[in-house]
Amino acid sequence: MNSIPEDLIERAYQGKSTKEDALLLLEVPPFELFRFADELRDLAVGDTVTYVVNRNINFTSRCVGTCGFCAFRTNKGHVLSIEEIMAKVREAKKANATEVCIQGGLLPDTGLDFYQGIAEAIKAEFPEMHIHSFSPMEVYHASRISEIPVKEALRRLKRSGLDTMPGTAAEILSDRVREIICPLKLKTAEWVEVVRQAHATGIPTTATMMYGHVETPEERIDHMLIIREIQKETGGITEFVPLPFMPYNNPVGEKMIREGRYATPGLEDLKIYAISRILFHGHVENIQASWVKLGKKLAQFSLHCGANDLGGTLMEESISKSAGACHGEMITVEELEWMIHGAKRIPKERTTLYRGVHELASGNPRRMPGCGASE
Amino acid sequence: MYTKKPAIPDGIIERAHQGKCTKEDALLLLEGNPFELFELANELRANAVGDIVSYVVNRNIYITNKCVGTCGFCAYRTKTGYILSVDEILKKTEEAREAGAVEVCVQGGYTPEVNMEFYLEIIESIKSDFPDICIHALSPMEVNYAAELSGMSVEEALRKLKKSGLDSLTGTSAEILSDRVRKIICPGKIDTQQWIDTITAAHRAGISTNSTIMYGHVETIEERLDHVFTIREIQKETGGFSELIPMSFLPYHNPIGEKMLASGKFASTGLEDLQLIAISRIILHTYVNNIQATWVKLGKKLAQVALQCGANDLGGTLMEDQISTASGGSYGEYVSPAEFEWMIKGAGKIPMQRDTLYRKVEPGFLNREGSLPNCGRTGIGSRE
Repeated sequence: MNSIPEDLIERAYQGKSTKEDALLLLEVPPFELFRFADELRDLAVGDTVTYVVNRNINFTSRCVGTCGFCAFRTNKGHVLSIEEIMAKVREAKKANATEVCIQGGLLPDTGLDFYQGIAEAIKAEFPEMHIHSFSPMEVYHASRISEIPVKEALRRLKRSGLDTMPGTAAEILSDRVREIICPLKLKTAEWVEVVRQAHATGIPTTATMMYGHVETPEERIDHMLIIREIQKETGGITEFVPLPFMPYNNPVGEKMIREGRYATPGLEDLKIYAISRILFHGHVENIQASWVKLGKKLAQFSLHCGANDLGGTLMEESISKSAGACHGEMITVEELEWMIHGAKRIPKERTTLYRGVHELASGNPRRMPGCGASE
Repeated sequence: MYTKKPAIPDGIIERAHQGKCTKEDALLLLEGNPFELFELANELRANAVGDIVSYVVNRNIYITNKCVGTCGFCAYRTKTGYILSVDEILKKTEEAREAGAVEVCVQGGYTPEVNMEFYLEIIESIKSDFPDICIHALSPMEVNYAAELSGMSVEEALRKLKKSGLDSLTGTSAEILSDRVRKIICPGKIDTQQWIDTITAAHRAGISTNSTIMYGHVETIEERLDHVFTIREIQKETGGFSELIPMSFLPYHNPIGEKMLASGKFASTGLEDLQLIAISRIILHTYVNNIQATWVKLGKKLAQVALQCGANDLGGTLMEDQISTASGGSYGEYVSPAEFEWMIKGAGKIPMQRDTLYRKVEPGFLNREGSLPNCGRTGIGSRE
């Protein structure tokens, strides 16, 4: 019954899985793959399943980008003022959030000052609130508008109080794919460079992958291997978050549906979680299941297939919802713990940097000061 | 190191293959490694029905949302609702037909305005206008209530329904077949024995039924298992069940659910849903061949995973399911045949369109466009 070759298992334990290993694992019976991933999860992090109490704040839906997978972008959406953002941060604080995750569209004339202003305002009022904000694309965009190098932009953001960055805008790290789904976004090498620079500046990041559109299985695996290479060099990645593409209300998705292709089925999602656990073993400990994209039930089951984190409570989530996600905008701590207990695991609230909340103020950074999740 | 020694005792596996799984076996299987449970269920599924996964193009039609019932799990019932006329029902059937449906599933609340004569008129009218459409309609509860209103026995009511053209009675209103549970969640409903008697009488009258279990509220694991064993016992006697549909309870906007949420209990988790599908497959092996994973309750993604855990059917395309929507079901109201085929092929299985009685039908209409999931719209669909 064992379809997974011994030498492949050996390499996985050593954190040396290859692309060929991953392609082979996609072909083995799914339960064998899941059980293997589950065993590596157990080795890496044990039976603790984490979540973070946080709030997403999308400061504008206005965006000059042209990404064909986006159903959130508008041409003239409202841009939240600092005061409006602060009102949301205050609500988050009241709801015991330890993190705010702030992202938004790309505004034509908005440079770094705007982003620094947000971080500074939050830190002035809530010095202990973890600011997990601004994608590599936003940082890249702001540095261009402000005509300063990315490295300098990151240094300034760090000084303004930015703790960590979401590793979004990664989509699939393949220029072939990016040309099709997000031609104006930063290229693969540029994304890698922004993230490396962030880590060098002391800003950890998460890493994401948005899959299930025009990419091939090989491109998914290459994506994960690119992330693994960054991690080997910097150690600045806190978690990996696979995000299934939602094919509704956006041009890339509508084209797919016309061709008779739909959102990734559950088995395919679980395989991605399992494969990522295996490829990242020894490198990135935390694999996050996004309940917004998977639904609560499948997210819970993915805890048996390699995932060890359920992400954030969010409080608001407008981006997936506009692309057809129906799983709600927030989840309570009680429900997250119910799901985790139901998986016979031990729930634990964490900070963005995967420390227990009680370790929030002190705590020895294992690798770097910084970040953590939800995206 | 990565090892994979099966922990399920050989005796249990052997009994499962022979269709003799016991309650103790089932409890032990639920305690063990879930993947071993799923593998056993998957193997039995392959033995029973092979790699074909079926679905039905159908439409739910709710006769009325008025109901004198007091079920604490219902978020659909109203005091002053609508009652469709026969013409309106025919119009909805016509629409369904145009969309390629081979089945209409016609149900509603039970209320003094709706008696056997009305039900018979509905069935006769559909049959006469649409002789090719399978009529899957009414629950044991509706038949009991309307038979009494019209002053006839349940047996007589069933005979008349059969004569009018009813193809299949729904096995809903089963909830959990335990009188302890029924007293808590649906005290006004027929009790366990009445449900069994009605179903058995339907089978004897030549009316096929499906069977359902609504779980994840106040029942114990043992009560769930007893329910599935009750279905097996009926099937041994009559052979009249077409399928079992495990339906996870949706705890929103209804008193039972709100009480659960207030005490820190939520909807059944994905693992639990898959385990129930798997254990149902094992308990019912050699008796009931078809285990349905209903996307309305599970979500499409988990329903597709269930095809590896014992399920062999994805239910209906459904054009409306106000009942699940009212309880917080959020998975949309319609899945196109093309999307079902995508999900089934993605599980490495062979898609097949069927009718209510699991007979193969030629796909008449594949709607490529599908429709958009829209959390806010009325409608949805669990095929019941």
